[in-house]
Parts: sequence; structure tokens; C-alpha cells
Amino acid sequence: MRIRWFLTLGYRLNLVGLLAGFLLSYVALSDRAWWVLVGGSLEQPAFLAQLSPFRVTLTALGEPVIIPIILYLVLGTRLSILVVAGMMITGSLTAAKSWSKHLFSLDGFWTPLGFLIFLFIGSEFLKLKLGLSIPLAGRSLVDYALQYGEEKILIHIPVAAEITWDYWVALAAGLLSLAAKLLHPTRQRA
Amino acid sequence: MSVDRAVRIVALLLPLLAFLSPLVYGFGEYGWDVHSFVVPRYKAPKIGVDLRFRSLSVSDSEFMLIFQVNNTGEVDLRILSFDGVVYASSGEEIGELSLVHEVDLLKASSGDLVLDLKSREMALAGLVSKLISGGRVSLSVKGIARVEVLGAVAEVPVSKSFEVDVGKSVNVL
Repeated sequence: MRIRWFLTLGYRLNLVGLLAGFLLSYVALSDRAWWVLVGGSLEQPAFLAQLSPFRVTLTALGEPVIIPIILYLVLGTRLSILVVAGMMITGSLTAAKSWSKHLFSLDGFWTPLGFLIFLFIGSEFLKLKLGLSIPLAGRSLVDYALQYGEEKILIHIPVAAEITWDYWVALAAGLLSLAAKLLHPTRQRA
Repeated sequence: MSVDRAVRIVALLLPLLAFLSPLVYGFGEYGWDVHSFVVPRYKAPKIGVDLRFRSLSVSDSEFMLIFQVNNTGEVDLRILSFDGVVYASSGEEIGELSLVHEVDLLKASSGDLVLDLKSREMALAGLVSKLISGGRVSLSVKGIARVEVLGAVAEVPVSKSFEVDVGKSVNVL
């Protein structure tokens, strides 16, 4: 109770929530990828995937792959998390009000976890459907057989995948959101 | 409605609305056509190579087949190796081919593909006698080229028929 009292300045201001809100805003506004996959050479890759819930960049043989729905999905996620962050900041500043607890959403916590699950399911899907073994992190050699007319072309692509620091920052923001919700005063103070 | 309840409803609806609004807007921008909204758009760069026989070089100890390779595609290529076999028009195997050195091919450029011919004595003697007597010999090459494209390596089957003319395409060194 003393920790909660201390971190909410006597149940008036949720410091952890404030920090989580600003960190979530930073994460949502950032254009940096959470996960990067490079296939081929690092300087001029044969394919490149830079993914986060707020930005998706895909290129193959130097040309962009554009999926219209993805552009709007990531914009929606970005706006949604910004709203969540804004609500969290508002809830933290109005900690004394009984209704402030409703402003603490766990979307910022679930987003990085969901992203990792999405990556795992995506890599398993590629393995099952196309026989491509894409690592979530680390390096490997991906072999792929391409049918070209009557001939078969074998392609060997060295790939390197990395979960970036920005992912861990997002996860930290999510964990802070969870902590802020747990620490938030639950007593009626309006 | 109490403030508490109103805030709860707004807090639930607002993020959902923020998430769905761009999707609905985007769907409308694409004329409510699911196909054009969902299907990826990608214009793959052209990758192509044009192979032309140039000459057969003969020296004391070795035979070299030289082809001109033109990169007709839109990406840079590098031919790392070539392993193949040369056949006479009768189907007889004349010898095995291997690449002498790697060939860098920037887009819209050309280079020489120099292949070392390791021939069987008898087959080679037959080829030489045909060249001397007839002046022209039809040959074909079949093999696998290892081509590097932006760091990815592709093993591409190659098949090429060509004619060796003793007057035009044979260099005796």
C-alpha cells in the first residue's frame, strides 16, 4: 500500500501511468521496425521485411510490395495506441477521480505480445505452405525451388532476422501500462 | 447515466473507433472492392540473360568456349560458376565445361563467359577432324549456372545450341 501511495503521490497522480502513457506515445509515433528480416546481401537485399504494428515495409528484388489493407491497418493501430496512451495520461492526471480507472487499457501490453505471436504463426505458415524456414532471430540459409517452365530453379538465400531494441522498448511500455493499471487507486475518491 | 459509466463506454469505444476509422476510409478509397484492397501489388524487376556463342579458342593444352552474356534484366547479376557438358549434334558427349572466372554483369551490360573444356581425347579428335573437313560443327551445351542476384544464389539450368564455324569462330592460339 505504501508503494502504491508513493507512486501515485497520495492517490492524486499515477506516475507509472504517466510514464507508460508517454512511452506508449513514443512507441506509436516511432517509425522504427520491431522486427527486421534481410534476405541476400545486407547492402542490397534480395528481400527485406521491416515490421511493426505501426509500419510495414516489404521489398523484393529492390521493388516495394504494397498491400493496401496493411497501410490502413497500421494507421488504425497507430491511432488506436495513441488514443490508449492519451487516455492513460488523462487517467494518470485524474487519479483521484473514481472514473479514471476506466482510462487504463491494456492494449499497449497486448500489442507487443500479439506481435510476437503473429510472427511465430507467420513463420510457421511460411514453413507449412511454402517450405520456407524463416528464423525469428538469427541467421539461416533458406532454400527454395522455383518451377520455371519445365525447369526447376533452386534458390539459396542467406537470411538474417532480428528483433530490434524498439520491440523491447514497446514491451517495456506495455509492462508499464500493466503496472500502471495494477497500481491505480481503486478506492472511490470522486 | 453516471460519469463512471459514460467514461467506461467512451474508453471502450474510442480506441476501437480509432482503429476501425482508417480501415473503413481505406476500404472506401478502393471503391469497396475487397480484391483490390487486399491483394498485394508488386512489379517484379525483369531478370534475364542472353547467351551468344562467340568463339572456340584452341591452344596446345586446352580448349575454351567463349560466350557473350548480355544482362537483359533490370538487376545486377554475377555468374559464380558453370558446370556443364558439351554435346555434338549426334548426341555424343564431347567434354565437360567449367567457368574460368566469375562474370559480373551490371544491368544492361555484357561480359564474356569463358568456359574451360575438359575433353575426352577421342571425342576431341573427332571434333577437330569434323571442323577441318566440314568447316562447321553443331554443338550444344547443357549445364547448371550458379547466379548471384542481390546476395541470393540461384542454380539455373542452361541449355544452348550453337554452331562452330572454323572460318569465323575458331581461334588457334
